[in-house]
Amino acid sequence: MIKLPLFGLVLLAHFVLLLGSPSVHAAPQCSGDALISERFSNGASWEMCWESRIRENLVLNDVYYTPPNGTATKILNSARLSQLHVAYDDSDVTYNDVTQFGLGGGYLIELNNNDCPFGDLLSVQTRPAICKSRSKGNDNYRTPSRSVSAESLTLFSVSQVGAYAYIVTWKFYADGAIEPEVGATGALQRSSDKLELPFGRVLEGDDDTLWLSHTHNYYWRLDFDLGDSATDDTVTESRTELTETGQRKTSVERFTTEQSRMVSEDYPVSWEIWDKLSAQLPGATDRGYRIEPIHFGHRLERKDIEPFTEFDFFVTVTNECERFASQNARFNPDCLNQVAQYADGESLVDADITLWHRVSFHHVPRNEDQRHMHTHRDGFTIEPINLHASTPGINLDSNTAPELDQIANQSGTVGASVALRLAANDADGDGLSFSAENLPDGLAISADGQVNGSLTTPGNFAVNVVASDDIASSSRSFNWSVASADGATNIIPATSGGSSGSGSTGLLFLIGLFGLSFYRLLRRIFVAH
Amino acid sequence: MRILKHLFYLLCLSAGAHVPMAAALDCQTGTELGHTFDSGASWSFCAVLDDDHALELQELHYQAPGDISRKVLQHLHLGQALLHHHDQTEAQSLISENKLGGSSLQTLNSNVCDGELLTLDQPNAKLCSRVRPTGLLAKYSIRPGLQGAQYQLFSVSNYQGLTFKVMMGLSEDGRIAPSVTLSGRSSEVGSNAQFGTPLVNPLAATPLFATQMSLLYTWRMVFALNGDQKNDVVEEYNFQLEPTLGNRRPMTITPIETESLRNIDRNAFRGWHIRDVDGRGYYLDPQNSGYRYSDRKNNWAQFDLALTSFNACEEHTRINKSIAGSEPVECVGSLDDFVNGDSMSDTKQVLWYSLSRVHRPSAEDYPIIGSMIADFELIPFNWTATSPFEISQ
Repeated sequence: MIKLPLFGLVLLAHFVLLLGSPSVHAAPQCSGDALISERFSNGASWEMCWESRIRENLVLNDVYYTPPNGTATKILNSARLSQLHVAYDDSDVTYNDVTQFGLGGGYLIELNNNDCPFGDLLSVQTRPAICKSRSKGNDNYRTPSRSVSAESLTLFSVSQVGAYAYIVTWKFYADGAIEPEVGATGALQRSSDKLELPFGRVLEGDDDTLWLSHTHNYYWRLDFDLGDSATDDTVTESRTELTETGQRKTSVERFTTEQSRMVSEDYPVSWEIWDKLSAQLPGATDRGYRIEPIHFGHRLERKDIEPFTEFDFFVTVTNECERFASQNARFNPDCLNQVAQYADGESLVDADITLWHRVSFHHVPRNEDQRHMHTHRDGFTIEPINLHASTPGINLDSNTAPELDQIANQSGTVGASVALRLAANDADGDGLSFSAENLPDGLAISADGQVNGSLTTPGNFAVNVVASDDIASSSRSFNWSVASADGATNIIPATSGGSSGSGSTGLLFLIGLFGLSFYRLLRRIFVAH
Repeated sequence: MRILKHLFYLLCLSAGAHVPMAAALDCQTGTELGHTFDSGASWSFCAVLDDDHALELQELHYQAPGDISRKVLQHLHLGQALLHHHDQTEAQSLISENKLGGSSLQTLNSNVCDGELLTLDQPNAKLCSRVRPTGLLAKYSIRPGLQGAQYQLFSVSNYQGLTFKVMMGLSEDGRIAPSVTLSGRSSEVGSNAQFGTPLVNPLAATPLFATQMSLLYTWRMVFALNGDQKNDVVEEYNFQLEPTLGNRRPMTITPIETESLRNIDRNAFRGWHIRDVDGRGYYLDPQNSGYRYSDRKNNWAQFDLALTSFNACEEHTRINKSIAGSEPVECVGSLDDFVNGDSMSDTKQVLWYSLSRVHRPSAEDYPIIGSMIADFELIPFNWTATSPFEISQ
């Protein structure tokens, strides 16, 4: 029997969770046209069911994510835009577009290949109205030698509500992230002939019209069901504050009752939802998702008349009749009317949890909005936490460390120019980056291994250089002797550095090698069992 | 079929790359570059790789379809990047020699550039340009939607294993989107849960607390709207809620007449409009701001925006250098010192805009940190009389 230390057992349990049981393949409860499935080049995949409703239009149910080389995990029971609240600066008119009009039914626009040039069109009843595509976005990750673009499954529809056209978009990334977004385009909606009012702008060529400024408030409803059970999720809030010493301290609060929260100007905050926690607060093996409110340059608040606008984030016990962020009672007369009422202190312990999040965009009309507005997109990202054992898409098992070529000891005189090229081989053909410690003064190394500069200070320098393929590295040490300009013997001893394999870099390398071996050992145990 | 469609579209997007400009730019430093989109919209500029702040655009011109080419910015570059590991008492400034610029600039190849490699005056390619579709630019009812695109130019810097992609996104409709994307190797670990995140590191067999990081990026924008006449003005827009006036939000527009430090007021939807005497301008939309950064050492960092009168030597938020010439100039001080009450009339307007992000590590960040982008937009505001992109009937 192999003896593992206690932490090894924790690791083992973690990887069991990540790799999953091979018994039953968890999957959405739908098939045929109702099922959306996308597999990415890194091996990850998303599966979900979709439906189009008269009010919300696109509702995504039974959303599963499969990490690269992992098994499918349920993420969301249901996700949708739950209100599109539009408040005009003159306060004469406020729209709740989802409940007053709707994004589906007759408001849903038929799409064609011009609208969806990279994807496939899904039909709502008989009309093509959902664009499904595979998109490339910003980098998923980047190192000096490699970069991977973030691939996503992108779904969008367009709803024409009054003069506005709303592009409601969901992106599901290959690394497990989710990005809900709404694009506002179409044409300006409201105007006034009272040009003196301070609530809008007169645009060029239309001297008799004041186009009114307004705010779009987008509210999303996210019923998370992480993992096997719908009732074991936990929500936390993380706050990071500057201390008197200049450090930044993060505190984590676990929510045990329903909450209404707002972003703070004073400190960064984020909200996390976790699958069954192993302790009171999240630990190294717990997994979940994070919402970080980083698109909050604007936020609409007029709590006197619309209490739900006071907050940006709500945690509620899931109740299917709590469907819309506002005007809910219109369609659910036996239920409460708006999301601030839903969060009324009910216990979250052993409860199915729904998160509500809003983003605001204040629109000041400009000439370019005539006659049709360019799309303004607003949304947020839901990032995975520990859903993977390591960076998604990087195979730690198959990587071989690079090998640095031998480097002869070097010598020179103060004032001499230096151009030394380092070289290394990598069996996998990975791109490599180089770094160095304790180079003689006046010299610098570029990431591609070129040492350049002019020697400025006499002395003996024990130089340590490292070549890395971003996952593993190797190092070599050599001596660089610098004589003073008059040819005198070096008189200043080296202050740091060391022989090959020593120093912090070497130590980190050894830890890395040990860790990699340990990780591989664990993987073999799993495969064997 | 879908792949063919995608390829066809990308070919169309790239077909107009690097066509000659309408008028040659005066690139005193840097290399003239640009891009023309199929719609006729184009960007032209001088690209510079600076030893301190990496990628810089100079002489940035935008030409809307059917319009003439007009200058927008004289300079656009990072004025500061602060990196603060939460267990440390001070942030590191990355804007100094060989941190983001100089030897920290990465040589790019096709593994890390999915577009065109550009060498400028360097022996190796340090810049990458590409064109990316941005989805529907405009849509109205059942009329065919217009697709948009963005020209992107970026450099990549390597600092202690971290990578910083400094990118300028120049959209077909005139939007300017500077960004910095953090990625690279995770290396900072500590032992205190207050400053880090407990993790299982797949490369180590012991538990660790991966140290959290805060980053502050400050962009320096020297405007020269429609030429160098020094007649631009900056106006602050506020839309303060007035509960006593029936929850109305009257718009107030206040010209900023002297050098100033300002903050975002998210509840008043504060924004900044910079325009020339003809009214053509840009709007600094602070939408992508999440929270305010504060710092014991850098007082200026607590402000989201600074407005200063142009001074060639005030390139970064903290400087200590001499500029040679017939009248040598000693430049010492910080952004706090630059904002000293000078009038903003008859000068070029310099906006310094800061935005911050916090990196909270997870297992996904080992061995390589998932990309964390910090970006914002400058939006054309009355640059043209109407939209230059009309949807067909």
